[in-house]
Amino acid sequence: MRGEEFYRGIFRYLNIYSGGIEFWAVVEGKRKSLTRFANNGIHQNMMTERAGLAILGLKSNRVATVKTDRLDEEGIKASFDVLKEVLEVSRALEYEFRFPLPQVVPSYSAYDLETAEFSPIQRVEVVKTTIGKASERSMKAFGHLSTGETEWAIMSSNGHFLYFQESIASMNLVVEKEGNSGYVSWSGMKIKDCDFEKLADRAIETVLKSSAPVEIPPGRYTVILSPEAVADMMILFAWMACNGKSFEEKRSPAVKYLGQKIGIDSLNIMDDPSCDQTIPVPFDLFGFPREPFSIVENGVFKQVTYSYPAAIKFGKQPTGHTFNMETLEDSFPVNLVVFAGDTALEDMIKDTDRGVYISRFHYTNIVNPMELVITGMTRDGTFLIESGEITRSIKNMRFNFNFFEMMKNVDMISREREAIACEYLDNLPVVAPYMRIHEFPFISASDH
Amino acid sequence: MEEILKEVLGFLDGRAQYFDVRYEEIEEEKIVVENEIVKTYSSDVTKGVGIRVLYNGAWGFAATNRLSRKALLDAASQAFEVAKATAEFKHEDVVLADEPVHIDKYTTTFEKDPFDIPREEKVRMLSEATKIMSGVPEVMKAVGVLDFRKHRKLFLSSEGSEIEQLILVSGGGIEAHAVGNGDYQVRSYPASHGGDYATGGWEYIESLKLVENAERVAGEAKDLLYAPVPEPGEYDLVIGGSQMALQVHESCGHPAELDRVFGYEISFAGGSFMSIDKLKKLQYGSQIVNIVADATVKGGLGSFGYDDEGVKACSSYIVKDGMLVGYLMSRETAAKLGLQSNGAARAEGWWSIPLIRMTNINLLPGEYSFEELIGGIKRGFYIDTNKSWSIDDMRVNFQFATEVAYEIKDGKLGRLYKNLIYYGRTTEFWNSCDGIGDESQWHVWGIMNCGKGQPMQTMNVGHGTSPARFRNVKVGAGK
Repeated sequence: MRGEEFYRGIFRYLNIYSGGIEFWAVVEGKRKSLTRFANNGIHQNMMTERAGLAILGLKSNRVATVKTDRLDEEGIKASFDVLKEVLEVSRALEYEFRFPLPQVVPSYSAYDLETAEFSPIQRVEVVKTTIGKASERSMKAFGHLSTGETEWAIMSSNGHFLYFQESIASMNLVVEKEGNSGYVSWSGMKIKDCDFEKLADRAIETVLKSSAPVEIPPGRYTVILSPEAVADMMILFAWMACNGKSFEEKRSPAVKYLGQKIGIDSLNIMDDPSCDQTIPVPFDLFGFPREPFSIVENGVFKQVTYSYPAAIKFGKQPTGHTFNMETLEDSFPVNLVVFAGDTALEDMIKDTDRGVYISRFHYTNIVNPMELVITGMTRDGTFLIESGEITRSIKNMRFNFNFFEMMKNVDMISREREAIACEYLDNLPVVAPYMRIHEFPFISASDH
Repeated sequence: MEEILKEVLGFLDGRAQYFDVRYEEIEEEKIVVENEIVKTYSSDVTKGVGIRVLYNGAWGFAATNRLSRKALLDAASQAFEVAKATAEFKHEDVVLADEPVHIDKYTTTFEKDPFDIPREEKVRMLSEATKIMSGVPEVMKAVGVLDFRKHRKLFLSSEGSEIEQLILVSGGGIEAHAVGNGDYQVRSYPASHGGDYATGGWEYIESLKLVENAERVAGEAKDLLYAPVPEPGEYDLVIGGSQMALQVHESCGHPAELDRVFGYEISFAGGSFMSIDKLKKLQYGSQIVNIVADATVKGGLGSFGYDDEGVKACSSYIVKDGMLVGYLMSRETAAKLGLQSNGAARAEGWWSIPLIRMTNINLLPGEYSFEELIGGIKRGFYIDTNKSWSIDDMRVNFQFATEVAYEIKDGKLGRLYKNLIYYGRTTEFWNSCDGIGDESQWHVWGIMNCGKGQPMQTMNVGHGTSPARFRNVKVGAGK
């Protein structure tokens, strides 16, 4: 990667060519390698390196952004030329905008050299082992293993300079035999923290439990959600309900549910960069410190996030959640962590007289944004639980559930947790436990 | 640049069995105006090179935006090393279907380059549209978007192809976000999720008439707040062109991707029910259903001269007279069926490996006027503009929601309903199609954000559709 000194050089050019425009600049550099496999063989293997600079300009309370991946003197000069033109045609914001003063930020460690420099041959070796475990049992393996590093630098006309480097590894795995499948995923900053064999065993075990799937009638069932399914649901909650801007504009479920008791006391959801299973991000794109931030505490939906511009606009405190230089007023909790409960998964299943175990959600989407009604399908291992035991596979089911109604119906949260790779967050982990939920509504079944 | 790229080819010559290099420059201008305030005015330029190497039957790929001779030779070396590593654990040898050598240039047909239109004029258009929409008290957020992309590509391959392309994309839309009566509703025009897009110039934006439609859109957003929700049940539906585009996209376009059929996408996006054993056997839809993959249609967002492995754009049937007859293919997957590629290997940019992607997946027009489609329904709904979508991992069980639903009673359009969802199984649904709108209602809709692959690539795809009629569809309410 280019390293801190390289970005200090860019800072010099920014100051030279800004021409009196106040600027806030963010550079993101990435080197990412990815190996994908299917049908027990590798079919895609790649390595990409890219870096890009985004400059937010401010003049007479007008803002505009230019982006370039030309990080040399000429590229930066050209970017300011465009920025000056764009600022001329922009309109003043409806609130008084100014760049923030420097903040003290925490110093999280998020870099592991081994992960950043994991070679193509090393990736192939890991994939070989994983596939080997599946093929030993006449199963087929499908998935990916990705490793790499990212660096950020923030530089501003009022003297900010911040630099941060992180490594990331992620994997997912589907194993399949005769139409039955199992799934696991993982993400973290150190590849050595990933127990690939244990994860593969978990996916394989799902297939071993499977049988020819039967169709069950649509209706309400007690379900046990895997950490992968819980993570999927929590991402939608964070996206739709936790953005302070949407709340202030009265187009968020937080309008109805913020401050309310939405679940049992052991339901706790945080944006927690201090969690050792996540990849900590120490500051947001405006340089605000990222400290543990409680979203749901003891079952109460406690607070929403505010980007720095949204905080100015709505008279709130910025919470360290600006992560998009184009939609500045939006915010998102990138280190999402759901707290563990006190029940073992095994006991959760034993305690369930009749229910459904769900390994994974597929293609979830929002049906009603104000009530956070979520639709989607189950996949890669959906089972009937009878008399405290997983007994047989069932065909995949479609659901339409109200997130808040479901949180009220949670009665058990597992003590086991997993760090799930979230594709929509560039594989950043979401840390999630298993959950048991009553009255979970299925509306139809699929063919498989 | 061409000289350095040829040097890269020279470096790989004799080491690998096949290789190609793609130099790409993408210039983008995006403007988002909210309630007359410019919230985003971004101008983006990216340039880089992607190098693909086939060694001993296995792929390697490396990409960089460092454009020095040394950096590109390093990237070529990395691509080669990655291919060698892949070869250690390949499933089978990659074989490429034959493709003639092409030395050619292709440019999108356009009249007015949007990058030459004064910025002030673009901002003024969106400010005016959002001002009109904000005039309705319930509309608390009025949004206008314009987005332009100029994509230059230079493709060189070890087989001798040299292809230069300039693809120009223009598009945009407006949205009225209304709050009231304890509800929140959005109405969009001409389509949801950012509007409608085409390959073409500023003249396409002018044809959208965003300002002229602003008042109607805002009024409909307000009306939705007070509209009832439908009673769940089975109804006949006429689905408008914009929603049909997404229906075709999810239930025909994606499952027809041959890499998905072969299982390459199973761990993330899923597989496909259109397995090889069903080719020319599966009655996908009723006999009036004809669906083509056509990368040559003028103005289609998925139109180009050549795909990203140098295959010439063409048109081919996916579904003919209701029967599954073809797939979207790359050279690698076409070879497995002993066929030639139909040019569907596309990469988002220089940083991405080409995957099988939709081009323009078009439902060919039928013979019905809009009045005839509606007139043939005793009890049902006319629905349009996508609000939500979901489909299972084999592309069978789907559910969509639309922004608007108008009651149909005894062949006549009636009152407005909100929060309608409809769901079903793909082949049952398409076999219930008994009417497709005629050519006068046919339009190629452009979707800018089709996602697939790992790392996720977004792609510009098109869908030519007209309204179509379906019988006995399950309907619910997204409460």
